[in-house]
Amino acid sequence: MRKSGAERAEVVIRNRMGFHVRPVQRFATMARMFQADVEVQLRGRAVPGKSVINLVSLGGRCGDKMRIAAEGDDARQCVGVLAYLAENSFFVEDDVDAENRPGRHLERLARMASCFESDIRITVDGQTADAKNLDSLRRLGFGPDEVAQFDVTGQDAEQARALMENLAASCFYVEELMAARARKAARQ
Amino acid sequence: MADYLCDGVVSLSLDARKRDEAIRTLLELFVTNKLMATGATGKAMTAVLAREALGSTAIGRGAAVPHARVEGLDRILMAFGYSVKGVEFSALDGQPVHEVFLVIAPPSMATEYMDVLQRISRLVQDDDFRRFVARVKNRQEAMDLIKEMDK
Repeated sequence: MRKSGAERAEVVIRNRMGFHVRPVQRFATMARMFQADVEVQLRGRAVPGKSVINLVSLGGRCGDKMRIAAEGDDARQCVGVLAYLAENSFFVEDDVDAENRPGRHLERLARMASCFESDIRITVDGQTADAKNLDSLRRLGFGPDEVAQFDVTGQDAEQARALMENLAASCFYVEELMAARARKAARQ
Repeated sequence: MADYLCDGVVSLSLDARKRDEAIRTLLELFVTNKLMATGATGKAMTAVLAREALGSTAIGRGAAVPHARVEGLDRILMAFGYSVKGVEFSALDGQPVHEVFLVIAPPSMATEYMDVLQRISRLVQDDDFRRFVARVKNRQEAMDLIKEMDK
């Protein structure tokens, strides 16, 4: 039976160390938030995109082209999120020749929220903003480690909520803060 | 992998149920086997846990590859631990981890280090490896199995 939606994207791996465990783990974590079947093609092999072990075994190197294909009702949202993640070095911050700009968490949130049809509102410290609107997020001006709440309504609300909550729980993948949070937890 | 996994650094009775304890047990095997100075484990432990904080290294099918680049090493070190009961490692599939491959490497050997991690992932994808490793009787058999199947 043909599934209702199919979507694909092609991206180039920019991580110096390639498609290693950390980028793969993030990719598979996000892929699993969607119902769509995901397939990744790299170096002449195709594997299921929700399996860390299969993806790591592809051995993707810097400069390799990677094809992401999804089939299912939420295929478009799924490929949008995964392609953005891949284009942005899977948010791995010590393995790319890019400047880690302050405020990058707001860009990540706005771009990923924009992959969904649902209306997504974020509330931080009693103030609310449209999560798809970068200017609105900048006016809200919160840090990556602040407590954020999401109000999500629409057809793809379940997937959108899972992704937004994952971003917030992971300090929007601002790695220095993820590490600091772990050090703090270890001391307690 | 045979180049990095030394004789004594295999534990077939990993008792730890928690990730940090399992990692510490394997790091101590490096000290017992004189591959690392006693005082160096703290730094290695911090580096491995800092890496875990950026995302779990459980790769599925009951395997985990805790790893980190550690300053001051002159070679890649690998330890293997098998847990019958399983270690909690925050795997995506929610399953406990039975096979733990700890890999630490000097920052200058990044390419070889990535290659080792990829070879481990290929190894644990093999159903035969997982079936056989659950049945090995001693450390030598475990070493032989890893060497034989990493071809």
